[in-house]
Amino acid sequence: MIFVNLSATIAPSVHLLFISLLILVLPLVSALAIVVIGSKKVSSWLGTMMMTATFLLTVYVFLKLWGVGDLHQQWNWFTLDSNTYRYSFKIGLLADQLSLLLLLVVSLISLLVHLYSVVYMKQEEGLVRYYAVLGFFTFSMLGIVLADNLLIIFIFWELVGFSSYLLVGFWHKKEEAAKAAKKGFIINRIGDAGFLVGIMILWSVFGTLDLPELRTMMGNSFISGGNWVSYLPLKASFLQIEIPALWLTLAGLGLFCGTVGKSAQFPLQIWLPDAMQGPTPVSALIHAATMVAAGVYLLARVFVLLNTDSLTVIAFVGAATAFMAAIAAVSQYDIKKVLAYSTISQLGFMVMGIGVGAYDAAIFHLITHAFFKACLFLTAGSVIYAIHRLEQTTQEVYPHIHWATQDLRLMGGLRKKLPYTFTCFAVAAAAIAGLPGFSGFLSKDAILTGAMAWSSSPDFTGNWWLNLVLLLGFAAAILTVIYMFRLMVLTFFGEMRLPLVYQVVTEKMSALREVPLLMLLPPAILAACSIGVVFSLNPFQGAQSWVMQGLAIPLRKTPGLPVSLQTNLAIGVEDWHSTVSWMSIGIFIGGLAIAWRFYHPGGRYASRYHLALEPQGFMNKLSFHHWYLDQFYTGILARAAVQFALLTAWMDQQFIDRILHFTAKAYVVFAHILHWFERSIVDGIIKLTAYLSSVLGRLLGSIQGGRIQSYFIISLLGILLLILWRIF
Amino acid sequence: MTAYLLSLIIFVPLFGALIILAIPSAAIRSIKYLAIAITFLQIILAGFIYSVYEKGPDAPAGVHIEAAYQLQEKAPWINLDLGSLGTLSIEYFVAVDGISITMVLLAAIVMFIGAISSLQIQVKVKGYFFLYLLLSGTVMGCFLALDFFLFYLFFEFMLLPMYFLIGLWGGPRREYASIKFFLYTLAGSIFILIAMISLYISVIDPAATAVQAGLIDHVQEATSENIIQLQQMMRENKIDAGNMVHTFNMVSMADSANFIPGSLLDVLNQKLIFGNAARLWVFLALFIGFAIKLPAVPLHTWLPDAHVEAPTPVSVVLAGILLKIGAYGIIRTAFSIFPEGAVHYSWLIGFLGILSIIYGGFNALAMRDLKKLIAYSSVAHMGFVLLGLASGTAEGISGAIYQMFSHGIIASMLFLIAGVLYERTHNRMIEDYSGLATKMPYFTIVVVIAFFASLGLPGFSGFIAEFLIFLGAFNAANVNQLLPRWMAIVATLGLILGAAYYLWTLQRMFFGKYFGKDAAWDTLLRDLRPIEYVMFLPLIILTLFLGLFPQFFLDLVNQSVGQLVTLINQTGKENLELILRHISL
Repeated sequence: MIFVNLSATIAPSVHLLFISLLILVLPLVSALAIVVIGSKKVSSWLGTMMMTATFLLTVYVFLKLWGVGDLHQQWNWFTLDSNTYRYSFKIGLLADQLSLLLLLVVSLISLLVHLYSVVYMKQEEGLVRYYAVLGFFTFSMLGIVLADNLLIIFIFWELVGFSSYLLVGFWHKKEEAAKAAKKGFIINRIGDAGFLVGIMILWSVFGTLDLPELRTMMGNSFISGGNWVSYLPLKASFLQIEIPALWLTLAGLGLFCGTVGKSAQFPLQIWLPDAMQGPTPVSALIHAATMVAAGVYLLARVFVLLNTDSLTVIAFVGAATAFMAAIAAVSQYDIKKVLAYSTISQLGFMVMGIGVGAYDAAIFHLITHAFFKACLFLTAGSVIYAIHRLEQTTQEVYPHIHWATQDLRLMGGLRKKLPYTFTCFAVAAAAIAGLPGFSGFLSKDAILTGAMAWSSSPDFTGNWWLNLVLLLGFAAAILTVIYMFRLMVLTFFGEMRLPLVYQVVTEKMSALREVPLLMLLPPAILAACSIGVVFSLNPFQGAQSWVMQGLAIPLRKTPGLPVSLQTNLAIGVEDWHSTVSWMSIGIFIGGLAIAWRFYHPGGRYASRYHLALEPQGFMNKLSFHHWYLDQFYTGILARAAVQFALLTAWMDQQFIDRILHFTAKAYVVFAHILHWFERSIVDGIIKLTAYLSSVLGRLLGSIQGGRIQSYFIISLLGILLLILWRIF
Repeated sequence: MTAYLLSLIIFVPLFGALIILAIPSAAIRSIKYLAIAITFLQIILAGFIYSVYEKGPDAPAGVHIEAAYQLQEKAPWINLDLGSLGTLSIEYFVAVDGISITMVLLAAIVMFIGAISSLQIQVKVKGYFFLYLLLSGTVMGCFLALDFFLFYLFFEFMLLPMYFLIGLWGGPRREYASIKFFLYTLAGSIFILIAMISLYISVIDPAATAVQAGLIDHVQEATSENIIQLQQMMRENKIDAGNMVHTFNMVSMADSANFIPGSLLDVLNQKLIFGNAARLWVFLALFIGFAIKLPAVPLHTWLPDAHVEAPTPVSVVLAGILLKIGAYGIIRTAFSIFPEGAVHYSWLIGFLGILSIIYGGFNALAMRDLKKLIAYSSVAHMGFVLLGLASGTAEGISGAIYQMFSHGIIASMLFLIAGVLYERTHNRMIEDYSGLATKMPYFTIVVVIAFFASLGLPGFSGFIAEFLIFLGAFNAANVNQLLPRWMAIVATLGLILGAAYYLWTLQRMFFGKYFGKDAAWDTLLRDLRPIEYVMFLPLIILTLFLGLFPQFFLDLVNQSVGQLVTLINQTGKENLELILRHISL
């Protein structure tokens, strides 16, 4: 590898660089070691220890660099090189403030999930595979975070998709798990295809995929006469590139497609609820805290390359996703499905945040969400674990009894049985619902403030429809309070409904008890990180949190941008801040009131929930089936694709091959005609010539008397005759 | 030693084939081990070629410059003085450049793996390995020959053993498949033959002609001044037709100054055939001839049948190497000799590329036979090669060559996988299996690796190849206007289709509860045997290595690709301008 340059804003530090590389590589080494050793006992502890080391190193690098500067280093990976061109593809490590934050979050949550899985996954046959892939996932995720160019991001991007595939399909004997894994990967591939198109556009305009270089070159490009113009440095000169300005928007939307796939945004969000087929700790790490947030991270990374049109689309898609999924979360039976839809909804918030230009708020929400959502998933895992243990104890006596361990209809009242788990869950729920004093309030409030500033920015005067984003955002915020309250009540409050369905369980209820300490610790840490003070001393001011203080919104460089936009947004944020804070508090109280009205503990809804059937009525069905999106895709699109595939197969056999067979038959008929011609006419001539030549030979032979010579001459004559016949 | 390296790699297997003829057919083991030893020797020779091949930015890189070919071996072979028609000259001319060396390496590796896989052949062993080694030598010859006649000879001699290998050792419908294969490729050969003959009558060997014309005394003395002088004289009609030495040398064909003025394929020839210039017709003839081999939709229907009927090792060789000869032929003949065709027909070539990608992908999705699915995925992946070549950009062409190598490795793996199942149960229907991961966990790991490598997961060689092709195909609209932008965008559909058919297959065959159509399979479906690991491991390592360290490969091809890109974008455009000017007159 070749040393290219050291363009770090801090004094280049070899040992920090080395440690950063170590952070990236350690999880991979862990994965490989686990595979090589192949022992169940070793794998969980080895994986956890390696993650601990990774986390500690991350903390070290974070403390060294946060608020100090960025670390950037590039190496050459491969080059297309000749006399006339030189295209370099580099590998680069970029630890800027954004990646430092993500590094910390990813390594911490990955460590906690490793730790939690030690007990949770203990019984599993494929434990080695589990820890190996978990390590590989962490490696890939850290790779996305540390990469400095779009190619490397794309590579790790696909690799996290691959690890997700392996982990969702962890229980590969289960049909549903295998299907969910397949679905997740294919849908992500659709998004990735768009991502690739975005990369192609940027490559063709700038000849590089390096993010810092792209930033500069984007700043130097301009719009002229409806064309997007840039100058590509060649070996000796510049090449002027001019393409229609629409491609600038398409480039942004292409990159956004990657987000739409990975962060489960409209219209590709249907894979995430299915991904809950994976083990619950995996859902916590990959499908709640880290991988699905990678899409938001990508948007932040390419933020400076997005123009106003693509950002507007992004804001709308985010808001629509947030609203749609929040509606779906209100009526699910499965505890993990509720959390999955809630994740989609929160991701929608983050995407909307980027779209409205509230870059720092979106990242802040990414981080707070990672903690509280991972906590919710892990505590949900504990609930499932406890109920599963109850099921096993019951089965010792009544082996025929089975129930769905994730079904909310059978839960309730677990607060008393699982007090610590409940506490952690309650803290995280308060955070996601936006109770002042908890982290979620700060970040969500910041995003809504950004949306307010955006829709009221003087640059967009007259675009009243931008308020739709705001409306959907606020509606989703209210719905969040409602579905979280419902989930809390159905899981933890009132009386447990399981004995109402299976009376025999009553005698075994003592088996339902708090989970082991090792499974309590990780959610407890995550719950602690969901408290507002961890981020900001001012409980109402997300903007004063150390996260948002440390992240500067990068100046966007796309041509055709209103000059005032960024400053106007900043002014708007100042102006609207306190209003939105009050509104957020109002939302929380209002949502709580509505939720109480319907779902309060001991009420009709909660106590009779075990009898609940498939939702009736249009709105309820729409909510339960998540707007029938899945039915649309699997029922219509996927079926159409398979039908089309069958059509192509039919064409191959019935059309192309039929022409071929016809030609072959014609050929055979022709050959028969030829054969007849040859036998009756050509053969006749040849026989005649042979006869003539033999006569001639006898004549010659009698003349010269030498046998050998005559044979020679006869054959020569024959050959000559043959050649003559061939030529004429 | 290095002087005859290329001849050795061609003739050692041919010699081995003769030895096998001498071994009594009962000595099955010695025949098999001899064949493996010879293919292994081929790998060693290929390694030698690799090590003595000069790499790096200033290394000579071939393509259209004869002096820039490495390891040249040249000897007059057939010289016929045809009086006033000039002299016919066929040479034994073999050499390597950056493009052919990668194919030689690939062929050596795949042939060796195929030989190991051939251990399972039980009937008519002697004949099988005789043909296999014959194939091995002729394939090498194809990649190394620079005399069109010699190339054509190897090309035809390669089809013959292939025909018999499918027709005698194949599955139930082997006769149909082998005849289909034969007729298709024969049709292709006729196109190539026409192109070759019309080239022969139009092109002279400047050095040999200079000797005839009395400029110099001996071919070796020819300097570039002599050659330019001769070409100048020929332009001015100062060379007597009887003194012209007509050649089959492909590199001479790549220089338009070597075309006899007024001849059929002269750039300045004003005669049109059916409204199109002869050069463009001949380009199309070459292109179609090799596109059948590639295969490009709609000329592909021989491939699924041939694969389904062929025994596993023959499928491996067919997908791993023979398809590449199609792509190689397009680069070496059509693109290098008629670069204007590459410019003029770029749209068509790119369109056939995306047609193959998408049509092949959809067909793969519909297949119920695992081997047919893999066969159609080959069609789709070779479509990427066409798309990359059509772009005429550095990224696109590098990616196309990368894809040729990468697909050779990955397709070999895939057909071996189909073979593992078929060998155990004689059944390849996807719906007849389920939950194989439970029965054959290590086999499943190999399948997952091969499938993901084939669908272009980063880390494997296919990703680098397809990524470069995408960049190039899209960039063409800016760089040389050879392809519209939508083509690259539409081609990304291929990525989604690839994921769909592979993952659907994984889900149906390998995941879920175990099920086999026949109860007897319970005992038959055992996990991989050591010999199978020996076949899979090198391929897996290789595809990973090329996915992680592309520079290793690009060092070989970079300079040659650079020359080809210049040839297409400069010479090609200049020639095309001349030709089109005549057409508009």
